[in-house]
Amino acid sequence: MTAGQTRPPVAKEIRALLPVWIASALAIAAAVLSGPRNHELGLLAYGFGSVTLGSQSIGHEYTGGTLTLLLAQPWSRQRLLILKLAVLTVMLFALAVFAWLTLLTPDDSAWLLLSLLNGLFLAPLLTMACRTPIAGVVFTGAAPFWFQAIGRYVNGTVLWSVALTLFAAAGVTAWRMFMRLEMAGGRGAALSLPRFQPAAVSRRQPPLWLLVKKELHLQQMTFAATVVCTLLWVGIAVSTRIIPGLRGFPVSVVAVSYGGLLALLIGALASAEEREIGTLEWQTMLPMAAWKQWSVKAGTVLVLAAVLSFAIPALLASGSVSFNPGHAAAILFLAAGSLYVSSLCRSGLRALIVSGSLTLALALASQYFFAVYRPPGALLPAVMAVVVALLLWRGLENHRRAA
Amino acid sequence: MNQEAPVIDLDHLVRRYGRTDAVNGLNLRVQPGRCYGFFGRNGAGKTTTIKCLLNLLRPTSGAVRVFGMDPARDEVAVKSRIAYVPDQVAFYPWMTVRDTLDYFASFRATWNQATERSLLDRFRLDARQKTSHLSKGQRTQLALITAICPEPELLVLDEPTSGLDPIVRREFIQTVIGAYQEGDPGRRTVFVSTHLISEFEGLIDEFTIIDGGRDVLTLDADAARERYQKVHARFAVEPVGLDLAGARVLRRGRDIEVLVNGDAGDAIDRLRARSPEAISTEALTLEEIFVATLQPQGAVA
Repeated sequence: MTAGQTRPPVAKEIRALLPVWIASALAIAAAVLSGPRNHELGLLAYGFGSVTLGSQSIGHEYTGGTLTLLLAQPWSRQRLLILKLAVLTVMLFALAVFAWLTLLTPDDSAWLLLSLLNGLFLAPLLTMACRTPIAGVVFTGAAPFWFQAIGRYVNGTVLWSVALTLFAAAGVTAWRMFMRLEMAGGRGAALSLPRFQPAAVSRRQPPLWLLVKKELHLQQMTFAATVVCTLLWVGIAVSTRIIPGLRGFPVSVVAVSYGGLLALLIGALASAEEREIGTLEWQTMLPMAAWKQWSVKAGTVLVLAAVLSFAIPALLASGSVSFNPGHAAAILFLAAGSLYVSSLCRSGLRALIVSGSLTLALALASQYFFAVYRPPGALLPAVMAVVVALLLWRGLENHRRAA
Repeated sequence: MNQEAPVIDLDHLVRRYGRTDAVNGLNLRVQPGRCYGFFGRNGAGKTTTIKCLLNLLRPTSGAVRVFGMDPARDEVAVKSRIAYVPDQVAFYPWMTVRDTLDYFASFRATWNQATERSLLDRFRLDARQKTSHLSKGQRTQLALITAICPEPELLVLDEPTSGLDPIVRREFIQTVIGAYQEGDPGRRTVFVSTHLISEFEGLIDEFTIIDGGRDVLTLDADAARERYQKVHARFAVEPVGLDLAGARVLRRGRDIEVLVNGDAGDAIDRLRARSPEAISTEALTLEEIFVATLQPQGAVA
């Protein structure tokens, strides 16, 4: 085997990960350049950048439908995976070095290492397990945060032992999974949640209800993420009562962050996932007005965002997060914006990355804006409402084109 | 027939998805140098079988041998001698045609650049074009080039002509596949799964028809044409009470067509006994054999 023969596969891996690397580096740079008060945003960008790199390493083969041809090539699976992991490791280290030189302080070394290990071991595993890169991001994106939050109250040696054991187990499982990976056909269901409807149903059901059911089905990842987060939440709620040292856990921060990210996810999945599955084109050709179909989609997104991203976190935070109309409006704004981005993207992960980056940029820009201009009370909600309406209208145009 | 060790040897192959048997006890042997047709209706288990050959799926039970090796244990050795064109072709969207060919060539020990140039010209593919801008048919053409240039011993084609226009399809089947096999006759084997049976008629040496994951008919193509005959008789008046029990009979007024599996002599004698105006026999095409094998009797008679 010559270096010339290895070069194209290595170049392909680098090219597949490069957009995510650049987006992450830009997000970190933006947070650094906007001043020390946005340090946490920078950490978030680095953490999610690492996990997205990990998910994309194998996930881009699922998204592009190229895994079958790749596995049919005369290379052993060990060799294919080693090449992928080698490129991923270099990209992750490069991002870590960039973050270390620009953003991170010695206090952030745990975050640096946790994010790196998360991207290297946990994200590829979840991507393969769910057969879609977005699962790798959604289910592992918050892992470093949980480790770090719990680490404030738990002995460091115990925490690192648990974390390293978990990552090692994830690494071994991911390796074994790739060696035994099967291509049963198509993209496959990302997640298969239990069905609660009776087996025998009437053949003719109201089309609008069927559309709602279809939209809810597209959001399986959202429901799974909600269940996982709620269980973690309940675990923390119980732990804080039992272990006095855990009191003071930043529940409100977790609630707001989780709500915001979930709103982005709900919007990102709604349109792009349908395009990725390949059903959007014939869906729009069904004898129902496109605006009706889009209304069902947008309505489902907004209702889900209101319930899962606002009401549930507010309830779970039990008083730490109030039922603030401004917070609710921000959640709906994020969901509508993400839905618009989703109407332009070919995959849910891409929609999530783009809408996350735009949200970060908007957060940084709004800090400067509000520092120089404080709009009168009613103006901001009115502007947000107009922007949401515009986004939904433009989203309908994109949906209609189904490009 | 070539009596060397089979290129493909499936012994009671079973592959289940949950409670569904996609392949259910399939037996199949492909000798080297043959063009082997693998026919079946939608959902018959063709793609699942092919994926088991390539270690893209693991058999639930039974044995799979390719070149006498286990594709799971000797994965690289097996795949080094195979090229595969899947039913749904996808490439990395950021790559050009040139990049894609270089990428696939990098996995191979040999790559025939003259064949590559010739096929690019023949298919009128622009090497500078991005794969994301290719039509479905052009993607299939590119996949065929990536499969033929390494000059594999076994070419596995899963619905290879789907999406190709009729001219390219004919050229691909008659020229590309034919030329590929003639490049090293006796050694290069083609295993093709297709619905367009008639288009491969002249190339197929042997075939298996599967249904419900089982092999229902395996025959040498020439032997099949001898065995399956169509007897056509025209009578002055519509014959009444004609007894052709066991044969498939298609009646069109005064014309009677009888599909015979085996000895056509008996059916011809019975028809002649009714003094037809004309009587003729001809061999069934592979597509007609496929239909006759899988279509319920009542649908024809």
